[in-house]
Parts: sequence; structure tokens; C-alpha cells
Amino acid sequence: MATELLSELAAKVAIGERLSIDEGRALLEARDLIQLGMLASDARGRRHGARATFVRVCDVPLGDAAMAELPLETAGELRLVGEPASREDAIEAVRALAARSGSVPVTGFALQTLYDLAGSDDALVGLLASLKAAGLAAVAEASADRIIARGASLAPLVDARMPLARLVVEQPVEAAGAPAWLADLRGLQAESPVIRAVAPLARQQPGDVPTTGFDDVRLVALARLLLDNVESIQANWRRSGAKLAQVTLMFGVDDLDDVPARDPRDLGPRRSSLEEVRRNIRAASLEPAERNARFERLTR
Amino acid sequence: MSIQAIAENAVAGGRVTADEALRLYLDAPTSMLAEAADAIRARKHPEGIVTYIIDRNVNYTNVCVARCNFCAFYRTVGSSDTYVLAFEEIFRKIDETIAVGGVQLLLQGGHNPDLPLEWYEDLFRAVKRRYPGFKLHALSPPEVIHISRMSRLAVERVIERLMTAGMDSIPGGGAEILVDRVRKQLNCYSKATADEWIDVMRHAHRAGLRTTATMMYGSVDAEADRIEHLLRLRDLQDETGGFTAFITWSYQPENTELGGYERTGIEYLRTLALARIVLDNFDNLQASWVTQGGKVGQLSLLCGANDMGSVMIEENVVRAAGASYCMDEVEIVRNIENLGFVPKRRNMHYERLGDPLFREQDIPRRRALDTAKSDADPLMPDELSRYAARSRSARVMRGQP
Repeated sequence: MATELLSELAAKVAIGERLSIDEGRALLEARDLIQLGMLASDARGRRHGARATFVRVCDVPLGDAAMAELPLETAGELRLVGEPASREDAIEAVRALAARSGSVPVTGFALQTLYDLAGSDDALVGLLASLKAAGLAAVAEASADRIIARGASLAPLVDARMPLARLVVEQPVEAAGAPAWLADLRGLQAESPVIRAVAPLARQQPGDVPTTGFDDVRLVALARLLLDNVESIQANWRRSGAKLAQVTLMFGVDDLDDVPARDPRDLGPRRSSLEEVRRNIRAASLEPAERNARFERLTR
Repeated sequence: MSIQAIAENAVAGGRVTADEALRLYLDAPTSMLAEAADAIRARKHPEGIVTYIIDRNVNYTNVCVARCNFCAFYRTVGSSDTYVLAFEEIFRKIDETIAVGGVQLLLQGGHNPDLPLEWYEDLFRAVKRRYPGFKLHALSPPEVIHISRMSRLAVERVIERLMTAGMDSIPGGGAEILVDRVRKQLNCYSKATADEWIDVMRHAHRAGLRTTATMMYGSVDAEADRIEHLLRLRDLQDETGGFTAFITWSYQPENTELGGYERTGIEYLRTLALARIVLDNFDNLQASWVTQGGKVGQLSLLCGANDMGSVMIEENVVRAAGASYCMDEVEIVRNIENLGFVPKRRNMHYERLGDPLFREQDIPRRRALDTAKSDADPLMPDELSRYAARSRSARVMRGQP
């Protein structure tokens, strides 16, 4: 039964046909991780070929925007981190960093933070427009948990023509609820197609019961198969660690976020973050391609 | 034969040749290797049980004259931070191990020129007097060879004396890659050649001991070297049937003289899967969560492993080289059940000892692995003065002429 189902779904994936929530549930119940991974990998391959992208990121604390030393030679994204006290602080930090960023795109902020500063959807559109004028290339992230819990919309981003670099997940998604949850995200993207990437692995792990490797790669694979209107499924290099991040490449991930633009110490050329991420992508039988925050290919 | 045909032949129980193994390793998609390895695992273990052992890795000394360039744990004779564990410290570690349901020590250490055979015999006898049912999975082949050279006794005689004193089984450490060209590059040829390692295991099996086999890959070795290593193990297993399990892990480069970088998670899963395919006469393959982390460790169970290894309690060697993962029994069991397998405790012989112990007893959670020495313990115990030292520094310390 499971084999028949997987063959049937593989045929649908091969011609790019959309999978339903029920089919997502059936994939979960089949518990055949290797076959699921192959399906997701096919879906990734149809969209991205044999290429896996990565971006080297430099986090810049808001207060340091005007003075932090910037690794402009290595970074593909300068990401403002922290909570601005006001709209003006946010705009000023972007302006100060953008003035020193050269050709490296500046991103920053969680969408919820900006909404809290703005107070309404209309005001958020105005704030996003001001941030864009100051040099913000994309909002760094939005929390899927919060957006879905509040029934919020991504429409202000569309209205302001501001890209969303990634949709992130705060708390682990329960397996049984994952297909419906992914369908919600698919609906969100259909309404307001601004999500460039979804990073489905939770940022926070319950101390006593962290997600397992099986939980993680199964969710990644389901995300790739069900989120057919999202370009990239992403894993976070620093949070997941090299080993898990690499394994997710076999389960539908096509983009590795948050590779350090600066190594904490001199590791030598073979052990630098750049070489490590390239080596891991190649060992997953994919071709590494460095990108910037605008998802433009970098040749270095 | 196509790669697919080679894999299908292996799944059906056929034996793969060295050339076929290399083709699989180099060219087969990871999903194909994993599927084949998983099918072989399911054929050998159709009941869906995944085992683990509660034991403790104890390193009785960090003094070592072997000077392997891939090792971050050893200290040279006379260094200020060398140690030898006191018998009482080892007893305390056994008490702690028993308290959490442990059944054995995995006891290994450096090649310390100042520990004669009698020290090992006294230790083993003392352990057995105090803990009659407790098992000693002790002294890898290079340690046995070291003791043999130091005592000027044949390996067979050393094994016999250690068995008489209480050694129950031999761990498969020190195998690295059983290819002498590689061993010379790793500076571990002199501690044991490939033939010498195999010979110790052959003698042990003939003497009635069961042992494990290991492979540390990803230092200076090539894929063909790993295949040769696996075939040497398979040949000896055909001859003696004495290996209970195979464990592979990737070279850990941090703080080592050799340096370099660690092989990736996918390379680990491919190597494990290949081992399951090639080692058709091994029943048990362990997941190396201690080097790969819990998540990739768990995924090992889909790539040929049928055993989650050890709760470990303590670990020093891999930690010195940069890896510091921890899984207590609760976590190991949770990962096994999460994949739909049934967890069972086992001993070194893979006899099943029962269901998870934490469900029967209140066992404190463990968030980090212990280390060899606590700050309160002396680096060199007084009892060493009873044993003749060979190095000048140890003779001075022990007040020996």
C-alpha cells in the first residue's frame, strides 16, 4: 500500500502536480523516510537542478550600525539584529549601515517587530517604504508561528514591495499537524507571494524533548513537497550545525542560510566556513553556489 | 554488473567484491546505499529491535608512547598533565555506572611504559573481587601488543593472563584503517601493523573472547583503503566468527597534530551503509552518535545500524578532539522509538537484558558526559609505587632507583 502510494505521489511530483494535505498526511503515515527524501529531493531538483545556494551573513547589532567593522569582502548579507526603540531608530540604523555596506545588501528586523512599531497594517506599509528608501533590501524574517496564530497577513510587504527573506519557525511543529500547518503557509504565500524562503526547522528546542533527526528531515521533506509556491526551503547552517544542515540537502533543502561571514578564529583555508560549507554541499552531490541577500549569484 | 544489480545482490544475501564495494561507495546514490543497508538490517533483525548498552568509557591513563598524529588525547611521558587512575577512582566509576544500570566498563588507555602487566592484572582481579558480575571490555589490540612488548611475553600469553585476571572481552579500538601505508602516515604503524591488529583479534577469538571491530576513516585514507579495511575484517570474521559488532566513526581533527577537517554527516551515513553491505557476516553495527551527534546518530538506524551504542557516561578521547555530544538512556530510547523501533538493553555479547531501565528505576538525567579525572583526585596515585617504572620521570616520582 505504502509503495503504491509513494509511486503515485512520485508521478505527481515528477510532473509538478500539487500534493494535497491528505497526501501529505499519507506520506507521514507511510514513515518511509528514505522514499520521502527521494520525493523531496526530486522536487528540489526540478526547481533548482543540482545547485544548492548558501549565503554568508554578518549580524550587525542595531547600536553598531554606524561603526561596526564590516566584512564586505566576504559577506553576502549584512543583517541588522536587535529591537529598535522607535521607527526613527530603525530607519536610522538602516541608513547608517547602508551608507557603509557597499554592494552588500542590508536586511534586518522581524516583521512582528516592525508591526509593533507601526501599530497598524497601513502604518506598516509606510514604515516599510521608509526602510526601503533608507536602504533595506529585505525584511530579514517573519515568524510563521505568530502570523498563523494571529491570522495576520503579509499584504503590507506586498504593498510596500518589500521582500521577505525568510519565514522562520519558533516552536517545533507536531508531526501530525504538519501537513495542515504547511497548507496554511501555502495559503499565506498564495495570498501574498513575498516569501522567498521557508526555514521549517524550529529555532527553539524544548530542553527535555528536542526534535530528533527523523522529525527534522521529515518536516523538511514535507515542506518541500507541499510548499510548491515557495522557491526555497532553507536550513540554518549555524543553528542546525554542519552535519544536520548537510543531511537536509538530501531531503529537499536547497539553500543554507547564516554561514558566518567571519570565522571566529583563523582556521586555515581548508577549515574556513566557506570551504566547509562548499565541501558539505559537494559531499551531498550538489554544486555549491554562493548568493547574496537578494538571492543573486556571487562569483568569488 | 550495474550499481543497482550490485545493491540488489547484496540485499538478497550475496557477497560483494572489493571492486563492487568501491563502485557502490563512489557511485551509488546515498538513497540507494541507505535502502540496501536498511533492507539488510531488516533481514538480519526482522523483529525491529534496536539495542544499546549502559556502560562507561574509562581511560585509565593518558600517558602514551605511540604518538599517533590523529590523537588529541595522549600526553607524552613526563608531561605535567599526565594521569593514571587510582584503583579507588575506577571503583568509584564502577559504582556510579552500576547506579545507572551499567553492566561493564570499556577500559582503554594510552601505551604507558610505566604500567607493567601486573598493574593490569591487579586491577582486573580487584574489580572482579569487588564486582563479580561486572564486565571488563578492556584493552584494544595495540594496548595488548604494548603490554606484550613491555613484558616480553607472547600476545597469546598476555591475553591468557589478562583473561585469568578478569578481562571479559576486547574492544576493537586502534584499528584506524588496516592498511599499512595509511598507518605509516598516521604514525600508528609502530603501535600495531594491520597484520598485528588482526593477529591479536585472531588470538583473542581463539582463546574464546568476543571482540568488536572499528574503523576510523577520513584522515589520510582513500575510499579504497576503507574497502580493504572492511574486507580484512570480513575475512577474519569468516575465519573465527569472533566479532560481535562493527563501529565506524569519522576522524576528529580538533587539537591533533595531523589537523585537517572532519568528514561530513552524509559521508558518515554512506560509510556506515557500505559497511552493512560489505560486512555480511557481522550481525551488529553501531551508530556513532558520539561523533555525529544525536540527530545523524539516529538517522544511522536507517542506514544499516541496529544498535545505538553506549550510554557511555564518560568519554575523553573524542571530546579531546572536538566532539562533545551526550545522550543518556532516556534520549537514546526516545530516538529509537521515534523511528518505530523497539529499544532493548544489551550486554557486550548482544544478549538482551531487558527494557529501558529508566522506566523501572528513577535514574537522574545526564546532560553531559563525565571526564576521566575530577579535580580532587591526584594525577598519579600512591599505589603506583608498587609497580616498577621504566621511564626516568616515573622512577623519580615513585622513588625507584
